[in-house]
Amino acid sequence: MAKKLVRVVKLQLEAGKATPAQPVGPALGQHGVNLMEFCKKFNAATADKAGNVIPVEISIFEDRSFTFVLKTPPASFLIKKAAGVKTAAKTPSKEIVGKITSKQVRDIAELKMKDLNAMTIEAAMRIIEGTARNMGIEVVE
Amino acid sequence: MDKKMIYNEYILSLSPSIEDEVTSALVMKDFLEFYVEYEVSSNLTTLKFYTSLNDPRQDILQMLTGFYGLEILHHEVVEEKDWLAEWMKTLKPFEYVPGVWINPFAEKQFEPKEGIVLKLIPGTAFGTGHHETTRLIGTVLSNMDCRGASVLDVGTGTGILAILAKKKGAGYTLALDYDPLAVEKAKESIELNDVHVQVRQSDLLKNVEEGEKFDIVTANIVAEIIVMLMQDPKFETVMQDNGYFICSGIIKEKEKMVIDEAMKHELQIIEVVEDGSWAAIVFQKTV
Repeated sequence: MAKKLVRVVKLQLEAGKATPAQPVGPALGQHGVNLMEFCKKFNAATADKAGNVIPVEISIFEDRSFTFVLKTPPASFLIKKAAGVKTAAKTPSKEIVGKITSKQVRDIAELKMKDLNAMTIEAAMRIIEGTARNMGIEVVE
Repeated sequence: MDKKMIYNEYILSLSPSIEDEVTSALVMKDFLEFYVEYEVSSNLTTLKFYTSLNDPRQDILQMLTGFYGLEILHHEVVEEKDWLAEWMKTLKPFEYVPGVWINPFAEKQFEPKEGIVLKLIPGTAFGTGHHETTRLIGTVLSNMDCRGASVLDVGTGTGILAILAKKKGAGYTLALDYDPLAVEKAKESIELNDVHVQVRQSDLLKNVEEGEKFDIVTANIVAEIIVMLMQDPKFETVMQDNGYFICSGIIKEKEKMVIDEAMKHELQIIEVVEDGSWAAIVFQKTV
């Protein structure tokens, strides 16, 4: 259809748990988007990803209709989960709060490949390793 | 909700170049009460976030303004709203095109003095009846004799045109959309209106089955896609002899592009209708 894109809203939501409260309410509600439908469809689409934070990009058109695409969970979230740590290091240069294996780095890189600006899996792994280091998480063999 | 929650609302300017980094940093701090918004008309990206007054999360504000140097554009203490109720307030039945009304409520009935009513709840697909292009093609279709005609709607969105055709007495009706979300939405709308329309996910005419032919083909898309639709190898065979091809979503400047392509496919112009910067064109297949 002749869609004129008016705005794009990006949210980070817990899989299967979107509700019309903050931040979804104001993000979509002020632009006349059907909140209930968004929540229902997002929750259905992410039901099998429970426990993950899923970035979602919502395109809002002139007639208030919308479409949305799901992205892969943020690298930092996946790294924390793999390392089994709750929070990243406050001063990553001085502090190591956890570790992940290079196999885990590869798994994360594979999952995030389509959203990362990387040509090869090795390049994607280097991006993930860099993020891990910035969080005070060591990569071990 | 007796006692409404009170929040701090912050709006900060955000450069797209550091958007991913800032987003990751917030998620890393287990903070999800934010969103990034890009407004097309102003080309501006902003970050909006909410903190409760009890736990103002000074660390978040400090990180965003201090470490990342984001500028605060707006700060306000806001009361939590029932956004769902606010949204419902914006909905009301309206006359989509002369004699055709849209009722945006699933449960509530609406009976105009005369005319037909389509139930259509705005949501995950284009075609809510508010846009010029949808009105243009809706006007053309509602003035046609659809009784018994087989109808194909390409890029159906909410399914609005397929439902309209069906309510006007169309026979076998098929609706296609490339977007799986639109396919789902169209199926919901069709069920809500209690009509029989086949819906398929399809890249242009790819999933039209062999032998399916139509008296009326509608496409409310954009000029470029309408041209691609006419170039689809199945286009010639899905059109019944003397059948009508009604296309909309065409920006006036691109009318020629659509007409030029149509001339290569034994199509004759019957009517061009315009509204503002938009045009819809009715063609008939000559034999």
